[in-house]
Amino acid sequence: MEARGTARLLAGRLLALYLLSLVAVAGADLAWRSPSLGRLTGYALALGLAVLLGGFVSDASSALGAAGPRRRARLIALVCLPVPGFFGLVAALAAPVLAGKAATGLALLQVAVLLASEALSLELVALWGALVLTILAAAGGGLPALVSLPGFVLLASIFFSFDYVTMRLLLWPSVPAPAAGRVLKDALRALAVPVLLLATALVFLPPPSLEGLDGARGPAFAGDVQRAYQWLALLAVLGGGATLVVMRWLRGGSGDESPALVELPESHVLAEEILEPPSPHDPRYAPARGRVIRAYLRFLARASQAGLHFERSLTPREIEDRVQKPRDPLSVLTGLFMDARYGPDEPAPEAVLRAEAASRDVCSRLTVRPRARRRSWQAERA
Amino acid sequence: MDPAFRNRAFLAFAAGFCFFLGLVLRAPSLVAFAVALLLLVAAARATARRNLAHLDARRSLTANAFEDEEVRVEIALDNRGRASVSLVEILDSFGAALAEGKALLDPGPLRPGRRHRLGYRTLCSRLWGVYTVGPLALSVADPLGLFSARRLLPDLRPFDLFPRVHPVGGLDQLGARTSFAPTDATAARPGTSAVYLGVRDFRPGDDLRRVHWPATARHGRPMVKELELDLSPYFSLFLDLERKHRAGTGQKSTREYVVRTAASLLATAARRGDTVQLFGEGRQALAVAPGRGELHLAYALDQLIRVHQDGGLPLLDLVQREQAQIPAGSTAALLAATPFLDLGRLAEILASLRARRVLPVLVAVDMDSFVPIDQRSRPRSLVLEQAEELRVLAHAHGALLAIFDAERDLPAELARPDWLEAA
Repeated sequence: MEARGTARLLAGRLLALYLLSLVAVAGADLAWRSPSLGRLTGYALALGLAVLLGGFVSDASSALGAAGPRRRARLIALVCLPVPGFFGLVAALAAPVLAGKAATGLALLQVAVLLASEALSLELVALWGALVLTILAAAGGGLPALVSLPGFVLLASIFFSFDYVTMRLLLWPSVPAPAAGRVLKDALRALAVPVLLLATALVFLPPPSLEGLDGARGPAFAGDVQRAYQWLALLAVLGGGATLVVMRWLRGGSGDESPALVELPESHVLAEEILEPPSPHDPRYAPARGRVIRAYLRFLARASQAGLHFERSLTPREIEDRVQKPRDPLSVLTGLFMDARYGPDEPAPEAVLRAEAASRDVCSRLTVRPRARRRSWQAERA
Repeated sequence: MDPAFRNRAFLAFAAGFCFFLGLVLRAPSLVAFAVALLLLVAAARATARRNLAHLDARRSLTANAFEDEEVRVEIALDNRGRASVSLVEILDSFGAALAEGKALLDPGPLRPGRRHRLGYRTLCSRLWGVYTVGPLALSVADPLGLFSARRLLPDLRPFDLFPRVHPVGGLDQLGARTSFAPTDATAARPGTSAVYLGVRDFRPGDDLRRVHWPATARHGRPMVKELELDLSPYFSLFLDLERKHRAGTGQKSTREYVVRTAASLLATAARRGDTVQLFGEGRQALAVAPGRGELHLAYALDQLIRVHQDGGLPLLDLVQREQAQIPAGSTAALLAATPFLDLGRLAEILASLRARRVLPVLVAVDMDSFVPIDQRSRPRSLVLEQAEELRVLAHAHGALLAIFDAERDLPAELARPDWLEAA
């Protein structure tokens, strides 16, 4: 069951990487070249195949058992593969007439990176490729920029989320995998604010385009781009679903048939209970006398941070007189402290709660001063 | 490289790069994009910290165990925040196990106001002693896994690891024992054994079930059966903690042998129902008051594993001082770290014990067979001669004797049924 859950998360991670690449490639292409549904379909297919075959390349290379050469190849790829992307971007931004060709070249490079990403752990390079293509799309302006920029934040974050959960579960094979939907929901909650803010900013500050192609584009061109994006959305849904189905079929089902060869560390939830509100009778907080005294000590510590320094000879009432405000909660706290510290009886639970509330109140109203401006009570008095 | 660091480094670099490009190209969209990426990173950091701030964990486990025993540790993970958290890692430290770090992962989701109970089993694979369990460390990441916040909970507590105990052969044959088995823990009535003593006149308060009807009929007044008084089985152990009797290191040391033997003697006596008490005089006095049962045994072992051979009072002085604490008809064991005891005084003490029908058991560890610390080892012939004299003395006073040396396998020796007689 655990293996099946992890396989779903792995699939989600690959799907996020695929969609991220597709949105970036499509954005750059639509920003700098005339829309072509056939070309977009070709990109979607090429990227999908690269993701699919990447898993098999990884399996095949691991079967070779050459960990050392693989590590060296990864290092070389990490150093070399981002360079063409960078120069492609610089060329496109410097000479917009080259931008279309740069977009095509970078898209093909992204396909190659995806093919090798599983085998050589080149996810970062794939993200870099997607970023470069996204910047290229943003430089082109218009709808591609409006879609690509929030799309990058959204899909990259979803990829990070699945990547994190998957890596955790690979370290803890015995832990049941959370549902992919739940991981996605948590990720969306975390990135909702940045994405919405970005989308709003892009709506109000429409991305300008570089000189070049845009001048030749008219309303008909914008309509073509919109249609291309609709086609792309359909392709993404169908292509993503097909990729998942094919991956599952080729990998031979759930993958949990093989028995574990090692003893897995025990780690599962034994029971779930509803927490009760913290009770004053909780033995952790006992004794009550100590809690009241600690509440008073918190006030003294805070007062010290606020620049008030009291001589050791002062009584609690004298301290109260010297601290001008807040008057009422401090008076309550001092009274309760004196009862607890010097009185014969253990404070009642209600008194403990009142003392802690008064301490919180007093502490929140004492302003902490910067170290340089702190003054002792004596200096203040002088 | 840590994947979390790698991912957030990428985002930070991407934000910086786009911000730069946005400024150069005068493209506010790229600047907004950079700000969004930075906001994402900042929000991730805040989320991780916020999730952790509302988590709390508490551990529950037994306070002690024996060597090689399996212990179950349960950890309660509380979420007092407003958001669910997943994949909380709990790292505990269990000092009594060789693999000290114990990691657990709560897959979640741990919903607000809920508690998850998790547990792990561990083997107490270290040698006896007092170990520490804790602190607990909680670690949780944001949903994107960019930041992982970690907090150390100062939940530290001592854990007593007792020496493995072996049933001591021959000890169960010794001393007073009840005529009923099993007996009540307390006997409020005098003379409730199974052994018949005679009949006497009925006294108010006597149990009607004890009325002897044939004798009542014969005498014409109520008569009751009188039974003998059971002697409570009592076991007193005296430890030699004199500093000058230290020898050897680690598992081959007089302290190790004295403590392991004492633990086995105490456990055997306590588990057969004896009231056990323990005396020793190191730098700090060791005195375990008489008591019965597993709880009392745990207390006695808890005191035992804290002893050191750093005292100055000889064993025989200790026995003489505490002689009044040894009840008549009981068993008293003297556990010495050397056979070189003052034989004259030992003879006096043994005679005094026998006079009160106390059965003495003398166990001596031969410190000269261990690596010497403070003083040179005595010649082997001298040790053998002393052992022989000790044997003669013990035989003369009806005491049982056993002598250990470093070459003998302690658990195997303790388990021998003729251990005490064999000496």
